[in-house]
Amino acid sequence: MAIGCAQPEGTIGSGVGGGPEGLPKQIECQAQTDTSFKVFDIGTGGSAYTYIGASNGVTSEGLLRFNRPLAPAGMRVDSARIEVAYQGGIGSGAIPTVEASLVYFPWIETHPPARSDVVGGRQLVASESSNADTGRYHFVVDTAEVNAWFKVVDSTRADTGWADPARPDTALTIVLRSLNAVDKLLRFRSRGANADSLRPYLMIFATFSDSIGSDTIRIGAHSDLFLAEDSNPLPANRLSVGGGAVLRSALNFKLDSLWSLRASNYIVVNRAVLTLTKDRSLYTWAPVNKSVWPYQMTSKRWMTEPDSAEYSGFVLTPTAVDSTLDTLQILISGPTVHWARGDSTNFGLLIESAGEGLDIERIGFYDSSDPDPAKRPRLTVYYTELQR
Amino acid sequence: MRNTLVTMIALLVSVSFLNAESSLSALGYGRQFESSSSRSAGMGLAGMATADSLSLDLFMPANWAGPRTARFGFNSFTVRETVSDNTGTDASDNGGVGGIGFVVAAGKTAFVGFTITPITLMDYRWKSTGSTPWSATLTRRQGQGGISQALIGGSFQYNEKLRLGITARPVFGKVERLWKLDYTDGGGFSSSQTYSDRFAGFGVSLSGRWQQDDWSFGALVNSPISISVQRQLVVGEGGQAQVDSTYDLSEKYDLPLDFGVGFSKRYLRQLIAVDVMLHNWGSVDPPSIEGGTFDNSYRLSAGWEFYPEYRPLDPFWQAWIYRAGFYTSNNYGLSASGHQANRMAFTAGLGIPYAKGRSRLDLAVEYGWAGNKSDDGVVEQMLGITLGFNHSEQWFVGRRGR
Repeated sequence: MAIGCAQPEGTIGSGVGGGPEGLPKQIECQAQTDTSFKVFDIGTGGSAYTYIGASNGVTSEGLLRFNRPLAPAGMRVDSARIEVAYQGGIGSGAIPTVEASLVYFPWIETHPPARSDVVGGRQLVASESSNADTGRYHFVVDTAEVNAWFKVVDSTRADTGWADPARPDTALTIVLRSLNAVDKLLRFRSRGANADSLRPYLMIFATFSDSIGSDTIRIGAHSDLFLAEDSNPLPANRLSVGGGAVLRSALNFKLDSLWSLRASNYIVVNRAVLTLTKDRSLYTWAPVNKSVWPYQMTSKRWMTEPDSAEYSGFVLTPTAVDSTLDTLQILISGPTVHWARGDSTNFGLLIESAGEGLDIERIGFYDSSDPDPAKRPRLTVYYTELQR
Repeated sequence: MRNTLVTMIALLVSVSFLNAESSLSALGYGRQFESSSSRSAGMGLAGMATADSLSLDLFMPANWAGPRTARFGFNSFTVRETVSDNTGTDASDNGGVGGIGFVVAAGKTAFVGFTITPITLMDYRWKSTGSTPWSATLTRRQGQGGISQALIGGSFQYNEKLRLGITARPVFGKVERLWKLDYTDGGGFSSSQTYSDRFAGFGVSLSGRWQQDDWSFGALVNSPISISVQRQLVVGEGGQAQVDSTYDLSEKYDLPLDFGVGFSKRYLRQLIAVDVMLHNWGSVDPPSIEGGTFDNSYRLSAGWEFYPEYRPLDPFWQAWIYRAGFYTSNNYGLSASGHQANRMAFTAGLGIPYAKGRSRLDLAVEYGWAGNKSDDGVVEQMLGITLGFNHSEQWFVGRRGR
């Protein structure tokens, strides 16, 4: 027995005492409206991977940025190369040719350039490549180019700043492209790779006038991202969530049947769970095994302007996607409680990928138009009915 | 007088207001409380016809009439309850104030005063565990409080043998009941509902005591009372109040007609007393919003008191008074199986006069049990101590009247 008197079977007190008594119940609500939309046609982001190539209607190229380090006076660059590694890819095509070009323009990950801005550049020569599923690429960087990059460091070793008006940025940017990729998006490792040897580097082999012999300078990428373009139309009658081109889904559940119970009883919401059923056939090429972020929307903008990148809402509990399950359950208790209390308006929910901007993985769900009710999105509300 | 005041204050301060716990107190408005004084508590609650020059009867104003003194009475109790049901056994220590009163002489044969006593006590607390597919659950049911009565009025001596008491009988009190469902795995918001009911009602109490030589007979009638209830309702959701509303219930609660008779007989420095008290709960409709079923209830009490002869040079314990008794009663609220739980108890008491007989400490011990598992789902055992204080002074009486 816990504290006090445990309730005996046969309800001593619980019926005869006449005290308050709640009755736990549950109700399932179908989505009133649901939709998916592309927020961007171009997906960008810095992540563990940088996608190069084309597959399933998605084309992508990568950017690597190396900041100029301080170098000792008298340093002479003997040779330099870019080293990048890849791990697998999306699509069943052959490993494509990867080109690397040197370009100069300012960019940062949080404000990535438009894909059309990243054109041309001085193409680098591939010195080494591997066609294995896990391999590396080496691209030779012109020695004079690197020497020029360092030349502004004077004999006092003080950085005098970038003085070359032809170069608007002090950084080296490498564009990785694949012009002949057919159904293959290579996944190159980025600076976020967990192993140091897998990250992209600018290797500089130099001779120093004030030291004996030569040495190697290894410069890690300061920034990296991919610029993906998705030419796929959104699948009809499905809800999509993912990256590449940013795909988000929004749902709104009509809860009037629940609220109408309040006419005769007090209703306390204990828990609310959104259940989405996966359509595993939708994105076999880019399955997701990560997490989604549910948002409680605070305006109707997603319905009137679904393509808008801007929306108002706040994130709820991030939910991991279990690849072994056919459904994804997202806890929506907080918003449902607020809707029930009437202290916030039900503008619905928005689901986005936690890897948005970081990967191009996707997940698809059946929407409310599916002929099988069991596959439609549903909001299960567990509540307690209390006598008025 | 100074010592008396110190004693009174010490007693008042030392009383703890812990919550008694009894599963059976959940029935109806709470468990009926019927201890009219700490003296009667030692005599199996018999006290309808046992007036003495010192005790202040908190239930029966006819017993106020007596020697022309001002009298103060106070009564407190402490109980250890052991409750057994089909889930195990639990014990709790509890206590409270059993009553307080003050009566003064008003003329040669009349007395006026007041007493305040509980008439029902509610205190129960249950926890039960369960589960849902997504979380373990913990359900709590709690109730505390009770209904008290005040007797405000007078008592007078109709003739040498008959004394009558007439008082107004306002009732008041508060009961709080809680139901709460917690999802202990943290997967959901808790639900709770609390009723906080405040009671107010008015009735009258008539009593009489007839004394012939060593025989004494008493009778008491309390009128039925219709109680208005103001309810504060709080519906909780995840620890936050979703609803917090106070309103008057459209339905009134009722207290029944009470009728009791008793007699006592003095014999060779001993006193034997018997009381029978009936409560007409059967005519009371339980509030429809509360549910439950009521039926008539009774209490049968029998007590014995021995007061040794005391001479001025005897040791002080020679003046002590010894008491014993028992009572049996049944609960007016029916359990889920429709059964009235029975209660039986044996009592023993001790009276310790001091301050030249103007004051007395009364101690009573009660051991009893109530209910049975098959009919009521629970068996309770009680070991209680009642400590009371009575004091008599010739206040407000002129020298001529003394």
